[in-house]
Amino acid sequence: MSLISRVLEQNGIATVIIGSAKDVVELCGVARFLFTDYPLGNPMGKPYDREMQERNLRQGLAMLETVVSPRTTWLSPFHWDASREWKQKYMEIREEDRELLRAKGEERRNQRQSRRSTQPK
Amino acid sequence: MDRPVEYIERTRNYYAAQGFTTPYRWASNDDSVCAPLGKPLSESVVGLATTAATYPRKMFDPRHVVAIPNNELPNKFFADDLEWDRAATHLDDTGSYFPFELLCKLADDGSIGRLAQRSYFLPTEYSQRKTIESDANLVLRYCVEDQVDALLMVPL
Repeated sequence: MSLISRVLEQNGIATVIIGSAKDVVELCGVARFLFTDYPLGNPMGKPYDREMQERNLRQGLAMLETVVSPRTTWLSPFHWDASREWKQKYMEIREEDRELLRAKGEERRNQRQSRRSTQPK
Repeated sequence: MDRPVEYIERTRNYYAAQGFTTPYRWASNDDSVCAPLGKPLSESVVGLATTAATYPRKMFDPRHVVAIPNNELPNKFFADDLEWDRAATHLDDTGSYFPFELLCKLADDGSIGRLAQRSYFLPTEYSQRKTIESDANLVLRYCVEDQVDALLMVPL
């Protein structure tokens, strides 16, 4: 999506990205980015929290009117929760899970191989 | 731990633990362009885009850019094939990643000129070449057709 925003900007269409993967978006290099520091999946805010979502939306839209320099990132003031536990848990690799992860990868490679072999040449 | 999650490093380590030997290379650019809006937001046509899909997709299914008239939007979207935090949250509230109702409200109160006639569904395409050469040009065409001045983009 960040790559698409770059093409739109190059063609005169202003864009703003509201998202939660800060390193990915900033590495790609976009014009305007409102960083919402939430678990991946709910960049606008917590589910059913319309006030939080609306304030993030208004902040993102404000970037469209005020930001004229590329690679501008603003940070949403809203936190997801006090524990921050989700930050540690996402794609966490625990020693006891390593065998399970290896099996999962093997299954995925097999699925991919099987799909390739059944595709029409 | 209040620093942002380093998704690139986290993802590389996770897939390496699954036995994948070639790490994904995320798009990286030194340059960047910022197109000015050129008119007040209250006079602008604003479009909305998300990475969720309007049709169910599995991991290896083909992914298509879709533009749908706003009066034909489905009640449910799909993201089973995308990476998001299934342990910490859910996607039951579409407003948490596709703020269509709120944008309608902002159009009604005059904060934005109006919504574009269509919304755009841009699944993450892992081929950067295809994203730039195919998907991006299609989205650009849709935005021009819909007279979009500004696009709000919300990746899951």
